[in-house]
Amino acid sequence: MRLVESPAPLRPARPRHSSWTGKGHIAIKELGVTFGETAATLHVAVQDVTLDVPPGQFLVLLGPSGCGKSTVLNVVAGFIEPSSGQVTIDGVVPDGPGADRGMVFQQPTLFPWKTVLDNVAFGPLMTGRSKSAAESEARTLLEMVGLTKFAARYPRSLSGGMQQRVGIARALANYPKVLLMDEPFGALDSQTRAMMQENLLKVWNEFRITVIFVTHDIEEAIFLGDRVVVMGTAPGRVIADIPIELQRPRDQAVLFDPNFTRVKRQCMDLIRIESLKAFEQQSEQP
Amino acid sequence: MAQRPAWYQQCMNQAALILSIPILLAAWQFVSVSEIVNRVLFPPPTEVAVALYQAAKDGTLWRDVLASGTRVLVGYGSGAAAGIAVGLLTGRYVFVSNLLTPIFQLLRPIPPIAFVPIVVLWFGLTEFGKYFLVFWGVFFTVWIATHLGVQKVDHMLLRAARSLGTSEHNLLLHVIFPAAIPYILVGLRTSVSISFYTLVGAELAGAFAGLAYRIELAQQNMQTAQVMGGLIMLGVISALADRGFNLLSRRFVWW
Repeated sequence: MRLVESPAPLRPARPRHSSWTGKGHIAIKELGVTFGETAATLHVAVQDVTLDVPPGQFLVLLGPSGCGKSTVLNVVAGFIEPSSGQVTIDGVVPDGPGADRGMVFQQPTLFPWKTVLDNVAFGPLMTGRSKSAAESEARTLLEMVGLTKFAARYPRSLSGGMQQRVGIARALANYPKVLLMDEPFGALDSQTRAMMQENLLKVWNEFRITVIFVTHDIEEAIFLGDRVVVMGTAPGRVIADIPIELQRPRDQAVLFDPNFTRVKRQCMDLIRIESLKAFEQQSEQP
Repeated sequence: MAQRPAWYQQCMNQAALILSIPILLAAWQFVSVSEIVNRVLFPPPTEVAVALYQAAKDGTLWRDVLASGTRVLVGYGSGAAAGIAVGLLTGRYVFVSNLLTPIFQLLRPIPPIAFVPIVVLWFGLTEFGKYFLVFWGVFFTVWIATHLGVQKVDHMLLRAARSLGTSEHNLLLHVIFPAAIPYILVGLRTSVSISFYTLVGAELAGAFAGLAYRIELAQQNMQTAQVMGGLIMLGVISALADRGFNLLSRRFVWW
């Protein structure tokens, strides 16, 4: 219950955690990615994508499957080399993947032989922290995602949602400038997904780092993002860039906000056109 | 049988398990003692037990077990260590793989025992020759299991590790190696029995102690009970090694 109805700022107080210094500026410039070697197998996954993501922004890449949204993310992560154009983080072209960009995948991809605590402590350990420092860092993160009690367990004994929370804690344990999330809740049931979204916003509120979140779920995109970038297929490209003017902190009530439903309708129309196009193209192929 | 109650069936099944070996021993005893076969060539289990007891009492049995056991341990240990180390490198680095895999694939199909004559030429009847043969038998099996294990590591796991700031050498040590352990263990287990095959081959070619050496010596003296005793000891030790390995591997793959 709120006693004072003052308009909450769009970007509330400074984050408590993290070394938030206004870093994590992602600039994607005329990015093109082409797969395949010969003319027959040539496939343009992404064409001419330009995005400027200011530090601390929660950007969602939304689009139907095959629109190249994950490809864009993988270029920013350093897993894929761009065919044309470039990506810079704070003005620097990254040399492959690195600890400055935390990554959360669709599958939790935890190390099955490590305990939950050791999974989260792995990043700090690999970036030169002492074992005790890495473990205390990991405990802080596990508390944030509400998994303190499971620190000694092995990933296999955790539910999918819990595993993914460990994945988020692990990605944040290095205090990265940027958090990249590739459909992290895509494999979860809708109830769990809703809980995960709220938890993610809560944790992000502590860090306020730049996020690029990839999803094909329209409601998820609007619920989470400061900004939703809609991508179209064949070739993958940006077709809309929509600022989301919903107050934070957000909870599920925001789903009934007129602003929310307006943007949802707009996104549905855009994606429907793209999906139809992709569907027809698939039908044409022999 | 279908009309019999379930507990009856269970009792019979249990009895079959318990009586399995006693029935074999009884049949063996009967066939030998009743002289259906030549008793000198096929002594009864009681004579075999006496032969084993005497060998244990005069110490030859323990000396043989120690000699054979050392050969297996040294050869297996070094072969497994080398197999894992080289397998990690060939599995991870195409250059190393291209350099070594053709050579290994050329040598691997040759049965290790076929190398006995040349090993005797090179190293004589030394212990080193025996270690070498066991090493040779174990190395290729462990190498190929590790090599395949490394290549089957989930590449998303590698991506996750690299985005956490893992260096190449830490990746090999802290991610690829543990992720490949389930495959490596299959190779390690297969090569336990391989190490005993090669041991027997090595000892038959000439040795001064060892279980297979004792078997051959007893055969030349027509001490058939001792031959059989040696066979039983080999079987027992080999089975124990396999069991022990199984217990160990459960500790190494706890996840």
